[in-house]
Amino acid sequence: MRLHPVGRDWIFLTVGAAAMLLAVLVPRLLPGGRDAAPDLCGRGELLVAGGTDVSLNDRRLQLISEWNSGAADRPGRLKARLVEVSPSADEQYSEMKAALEARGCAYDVLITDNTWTAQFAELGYLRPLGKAADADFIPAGLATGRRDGTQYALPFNLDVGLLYAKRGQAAPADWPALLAGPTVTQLADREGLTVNALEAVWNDGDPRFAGSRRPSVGELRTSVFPAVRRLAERVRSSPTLRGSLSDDEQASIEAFENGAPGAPRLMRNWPYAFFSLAATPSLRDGAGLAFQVSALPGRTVLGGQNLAIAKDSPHPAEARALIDFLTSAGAERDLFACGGFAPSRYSALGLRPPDRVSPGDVRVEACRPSGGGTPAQEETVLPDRAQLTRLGQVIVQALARAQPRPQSVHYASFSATFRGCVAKMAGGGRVDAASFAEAVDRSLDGRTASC
Amino acid sequence: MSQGQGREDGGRGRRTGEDPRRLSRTLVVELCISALGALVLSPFSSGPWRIAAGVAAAVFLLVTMVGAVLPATSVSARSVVASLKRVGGALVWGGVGAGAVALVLLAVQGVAAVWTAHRPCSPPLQLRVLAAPELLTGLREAAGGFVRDSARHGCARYALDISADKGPIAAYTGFTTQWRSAETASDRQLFGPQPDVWIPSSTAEYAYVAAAGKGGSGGDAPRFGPASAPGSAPVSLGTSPMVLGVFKPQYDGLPSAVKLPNQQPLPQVLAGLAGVRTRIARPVPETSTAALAATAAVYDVAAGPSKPSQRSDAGAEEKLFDPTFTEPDVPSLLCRLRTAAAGGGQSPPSIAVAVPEQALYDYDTGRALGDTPCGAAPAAGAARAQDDPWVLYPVYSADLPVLDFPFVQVRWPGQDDGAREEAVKALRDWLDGHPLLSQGLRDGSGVAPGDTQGGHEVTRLRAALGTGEDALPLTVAGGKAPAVGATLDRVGQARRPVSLTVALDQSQSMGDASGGGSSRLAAATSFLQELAAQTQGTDRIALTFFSGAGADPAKVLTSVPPGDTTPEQKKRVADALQGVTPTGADLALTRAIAQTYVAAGRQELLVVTDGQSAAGNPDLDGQIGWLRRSFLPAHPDLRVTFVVTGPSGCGDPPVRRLAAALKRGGAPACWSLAAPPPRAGVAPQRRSTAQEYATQLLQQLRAGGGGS
Repeated sequence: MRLHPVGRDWIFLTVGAAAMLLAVLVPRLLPGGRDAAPDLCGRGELLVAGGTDVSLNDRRLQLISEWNSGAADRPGRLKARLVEVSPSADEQYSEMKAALEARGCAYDVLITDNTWTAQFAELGYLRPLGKAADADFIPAGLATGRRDGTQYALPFNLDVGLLYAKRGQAAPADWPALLAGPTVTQLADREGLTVNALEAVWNDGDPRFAGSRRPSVGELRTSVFPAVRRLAERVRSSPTLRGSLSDDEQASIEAFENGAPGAPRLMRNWPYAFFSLAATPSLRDGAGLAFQVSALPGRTVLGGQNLAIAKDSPHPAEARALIDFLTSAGAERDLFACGGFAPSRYSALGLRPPDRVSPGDVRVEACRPSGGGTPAQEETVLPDRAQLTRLGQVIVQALARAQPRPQSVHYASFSATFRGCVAKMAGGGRVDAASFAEAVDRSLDGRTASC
Repeated sequence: MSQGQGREDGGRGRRTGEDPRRLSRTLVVELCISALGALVLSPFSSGPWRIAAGVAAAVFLLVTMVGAVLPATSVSARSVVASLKRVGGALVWGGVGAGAVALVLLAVQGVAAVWTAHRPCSPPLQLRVLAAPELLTGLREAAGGFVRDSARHGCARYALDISADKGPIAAYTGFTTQWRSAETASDRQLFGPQPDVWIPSSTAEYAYVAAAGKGGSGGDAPRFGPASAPGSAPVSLGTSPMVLGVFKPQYDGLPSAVKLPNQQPLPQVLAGLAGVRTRIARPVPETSTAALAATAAVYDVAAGPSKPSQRSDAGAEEKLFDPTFTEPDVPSLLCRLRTAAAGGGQSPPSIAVAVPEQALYDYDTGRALGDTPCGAAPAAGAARAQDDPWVLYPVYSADLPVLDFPFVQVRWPGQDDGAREEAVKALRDWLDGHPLLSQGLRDGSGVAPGDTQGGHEVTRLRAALGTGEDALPLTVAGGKAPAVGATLDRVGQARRPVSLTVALDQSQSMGDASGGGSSRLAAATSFLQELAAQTQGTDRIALTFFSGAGADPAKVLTSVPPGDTTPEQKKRVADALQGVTPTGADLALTRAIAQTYVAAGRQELLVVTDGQSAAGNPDLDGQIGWLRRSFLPAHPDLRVTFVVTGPSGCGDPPVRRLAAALKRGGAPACWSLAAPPPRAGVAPQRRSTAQEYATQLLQQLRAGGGGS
């Protein structure tokens, strides 16, 4: 046999090479087993994907209905439909991400947790919003919808941690006093644990572990780990905090509402809890309230939800118009006063930058129900104007100390790893600083890691 | 004769009469070589290697066949060998070319791997899995292994979200309505994430749902099975026999023949349970396929030598099942028992829980119980105290069915791409290679594999029970789960049907907070949607709304007229509940009751309200008097039950006084969604889910009793 090709051998050699190349590349290039999809992209309505609307007075759904009423008067305007995936944030994320990965025009507008925006934008799932947002938006909220200088989402509502105290209970002066007191919070193995652990780190360790700043492995080991360890020790030594290990937001509200001896007298929770507590007979005193609300004694997580346009939306212009409608000043006022959501606009709290932005400048009106008829005062227990004003003032105070969670494309893996380490330590498991630092650092890159 | 050999046809190059033999010899030789080539290349069984081998084989055959049919210069074996040499040469150089390209591609892949290893990972692909609730704990643990094992260079390639299904009726509805549980003009509610993988309790449940899709319309219906083999039969991930879990005090009193490791016929088992005054507790059959499967087996036994009938099924339902101990699914039922055990100071109830063996293992070894608040006990995995009365001992019977947990791929139009297909296949292949046997399942033959290091559930369960080496059967026989549709019909016929009229308060105050984190109306509609979902076709339901809205201060609107709770009727109710919004002032509860249309006959009127206020119910004494004098006598078979959403409770007026005034027999009842529902044998410790509330209330209504 010859060792070098001659004549027709070159043809056979080329045919073999081409066959191998096609065999490897063709399966990767063909679209693969895709069923003939129905014309989802040709639908004549806007689909808004979000969680189950449990807002008071169905405010979010009311806004959609108002948009649809207006659509009837404006030819060419598309009606919108709210798609409620699940009350669980994890399931909302799962459904949205899977639908976006498939690039199948499933949704037009997405109501996302503000930690998802960076990831979705990085993966190319979101459409840049184009025109700049107006100056009425609270900058911290607006920043959560921005990635690499491009605005991908507008804030629908904000969230900040607040402190609720039963009447007669003194507010703690600092973070260690908060954790040492009869405090209930959310330490179940969900996002609430990540939030609480981050707040403990910021107030008792390193306030820089937030936003776009990524800590070094050394900082994780020397600044973050000790704060987490102290939190775990406090959880193990406090009966109330130990009880919070199975609590999410709703369970901690129920625990706080409990009037039995030994029940918690302090609670860390979001602004919407105010409406729930204000409606609880045991926490009312006639027309007044038997509890107070204030800002936490330290830094708090800036939570909230954003509105973004899916990259494959067949109606991007209409989707942008809908987002503008849902985040309008009137909608934000309504969502705050009637729905229990912390607003994303200054004007919803009666503020106007740059002159009127302090807590003392807050001016709000009580909710005016949009349904027909006028209910008697005692039939509804929405906060009155004074109570709403106090809540608005506290929100403004808290916003000044609020920080976003680490903005990472791999936020999901970071949160799961971080809170897994915290849960293990709170349960008495042994974790050393080096393992913790390595696990968290890896998770920020999206690598599998655990303590 | 060399070149001239064979040219008797005048130069065409073929010897007539000898062509077929030459061609056949050539083909035989080629087939043999192809087969050998396939064997040699078979170790490269995955992906591009298999494709490359196929391409090479095709090229080989093509070249050979061309050579075989073209004019040949010789009809002898020598000419065939010469042809083969030419073909062989072509193959060799073709292979050299293919090999060179393969080396280049491998080098590129290697460089890419090194590059990727030092860059941040791409986010993993999201897989949505819907599974039988009793399998959740084990499946989530296994999923962690899948994510770790499938990682490349430390980067997770897949992320799994695993949620529990809600039983056969919910699955049927979900898969036949594009996963929409309710819909209005401006709102659509999904059942949760649309699953890419569905792992029901049994193939029977899959068949029930899949049959509904046959002949179905719409290009947006989901499809089952991989794209390469649509509609193919799903493969089982493992099996778990249904058992009857009995607490130690009752277990000690059972006849030896019924105890471990025996698997007696079910009549003997039931006779043994009767001897210790123990009835069967099971989840709601409509929301638990496991319970449904066990129910059919018990019904069949109760018929005795006769053919099962509605009468014998009804008799079994009344005599053999304990209706006071029920929950929506297996984990909830076991969590209730674990909660009662943790409460201390009480003896376990005299019940035998019908659950899969693998769920009993989770309970006895302290593992987490699905999505219930019963997380893993502190001493999870450790053996319990020998004299712990709350340990459940499994009683086996070959007459009880075996659950086989099939792996079903679900493809949703518009979300069915190659990457997702590959991810599902990767999960299926991984589960094939890492069976769920270590999570408590048995293999397809009912065998619990041998284990030397205490890693299998049989070993750990044996330790948890404190029994001897041979105490648990290593092989369990049992039949397949019965057809779901037929069994649902039997259950519906066997139980007392309920005729429900729901009157829902939609006044403005219902939009306020309930005290539980949602609005009152949201709490009410969640509960009512679960209630409607759990009804059977033999039940009836109607829905009305009431409030003092607009100019008409007395507005009771019939939203859904009475009808049998067919899937269509349930959809009407769900859609109506989804679309209701709070509006108007309070309408006095007595007026709402009086103006709600209720058919004749035994009826249940559910008044769902936030409790209202005294101002909204003026002249309450007068109204109560009228109810007693006029309303109750006119409706002798009507029972009124109040459901209060919170924050007010059953002890607050005017509901408290109205409930007392309308008391009739064991009813009236008042249930508060702001407090745990009354449950036998367990101290109330937590607010329950809407599904759990619905289960308790519906069972109480069927039993003819009320709540507080």
